[in-house]
Amino acid sequence: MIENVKTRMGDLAGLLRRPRTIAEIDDGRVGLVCHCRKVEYSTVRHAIGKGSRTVADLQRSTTACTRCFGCRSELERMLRLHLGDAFRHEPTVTLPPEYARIAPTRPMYMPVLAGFRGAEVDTKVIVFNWEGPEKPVAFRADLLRLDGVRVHVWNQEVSYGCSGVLDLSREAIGLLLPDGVGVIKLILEIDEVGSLRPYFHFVTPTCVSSTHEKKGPADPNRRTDRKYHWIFPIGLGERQEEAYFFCTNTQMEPMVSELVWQSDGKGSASAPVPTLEFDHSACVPLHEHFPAIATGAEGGSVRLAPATHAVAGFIIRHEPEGQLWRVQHL
Amino acid sequence: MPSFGWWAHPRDYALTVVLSTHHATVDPEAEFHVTLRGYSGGSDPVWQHEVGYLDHGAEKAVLLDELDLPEPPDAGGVLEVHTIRLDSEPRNVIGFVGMWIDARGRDGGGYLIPTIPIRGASKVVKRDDLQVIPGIMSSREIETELVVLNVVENPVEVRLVASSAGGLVAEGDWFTIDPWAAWHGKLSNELPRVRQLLAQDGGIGSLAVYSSHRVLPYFGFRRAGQPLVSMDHSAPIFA
Repeated sequence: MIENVKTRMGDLAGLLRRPRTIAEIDDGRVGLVCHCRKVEYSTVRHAIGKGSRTVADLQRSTTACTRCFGCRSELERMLRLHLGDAFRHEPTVTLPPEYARIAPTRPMYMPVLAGFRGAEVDTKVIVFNWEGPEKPVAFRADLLRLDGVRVHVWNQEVSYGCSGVLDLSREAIGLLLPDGVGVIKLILEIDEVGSLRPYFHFVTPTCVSSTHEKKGPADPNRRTDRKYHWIFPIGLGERQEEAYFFCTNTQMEPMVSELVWQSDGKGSASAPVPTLEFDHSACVPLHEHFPAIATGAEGGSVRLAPATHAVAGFIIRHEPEGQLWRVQHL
Repeated sequence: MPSFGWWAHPRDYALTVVLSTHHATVDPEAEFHVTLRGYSGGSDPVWQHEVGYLDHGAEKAVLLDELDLPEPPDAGGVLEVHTIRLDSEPRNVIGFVGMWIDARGRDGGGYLIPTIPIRGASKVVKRDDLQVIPGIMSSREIETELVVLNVVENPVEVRLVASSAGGLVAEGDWFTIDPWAAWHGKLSNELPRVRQLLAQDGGIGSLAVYSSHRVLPYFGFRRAGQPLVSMDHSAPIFA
């Protein structure tokens, strides 16, 4: 995002020292910025020009960012562009009280690999409308980087009896995920999930691996201590494997956590997880932190601690010898 | 409530049952007792292994290869992970303590799947006679493998209906799975026209699994003769 500003306006450092005019924050983007509430870029620019200084201000003045919060990073980008150094990032997502009674949507999250670590691995998402209404069901898919920044939006629908397929291969998404890893956040525009739970594939020249999405909590605003830990189980085997713990924070408070490896009777060790704000993800290479689990010689589990946050979690394994990528939801 | 998974044939997979007390609770006073059982066509287990008592904090990895077990049928059998919490009474809502199976393929690959109950999950489903598998594939290069577990006393009738991405349908015949047994097959064997059906939409579609009572279906893919790399469960029809 900053690169765009630099290219367009030249002296970035100078620009960041003073508030921008409306004309200057008009970076040429048109259409919807908030796809849930159908709020346009121009509406947000106008609100910023009228004095909105925070995402909370924009929520009140435009209704943007009051449902799935998928446009939060984009609103922040626009505010930062306008306010420069005066912009203050708020790590916790909030909702104006007047929206608190509206049941939030429950986004569904899936990891996306598209050339991750140079590997020939791509991703597809499939939505099957077998038991839904006899009319097309709309869904929206936001492609996010690990830092929660939305880089693309698809609006699709799937007809009754049909399957909707979203191609997230390297060929399809180009350079949208420079690190080859991200998240797809899918929002179904229907109250009942029915048969429409999305599954996804990791596709390589030698294998296809599949599992289903993980849904965000019914109330992302309310943090309740979980009754158990998310775990990554480690069985015994004879082949070298890489192992990645992939998770997205689906609650509005930032998540501060660690991963704890505990083997069957042979002690434990821990590794840090980056602090994750809402919609931020981490893909932690467990085999680099806990070499024992890569060999298959020790069984046990890796748990996410403390057991406080609702995450959309996945287990990803990679057998380099055969280019075998395996994925499983937690 | 007991939970179940596929007892895959040891010729193909090395199964580790990962028992994690951290996956069950955060209560430091919790105590558990775990028993593993295998079934192959009858309600009496053909083997039973008492793992024993686990205090909170214990993690246990049980490699079935290290137990002296009889072999299941070619299609595999049903693996029961029966975990009982000893320090508290069951709650009003029937609960279960699900654990994990980490199956490593003898030739690489494998699958990792939580054990699940036939009843007791907290999510509300609309019907017991239908589940779906979005994203099946069948072509000369890629094949969908299916496993269906019947974990009740009665035989179950099952029918597979494949749908191309564009909505064309191929229906299979009803077939029977014995009580406490596993069925394991290739999609194209059950639905011989499925490759032609899916070819019209890029070789991809979805599957509906109809059954006379609740079953536990799983699916995975094999590409170009390479090992299978996952075996996830189907999706119920959620309310």
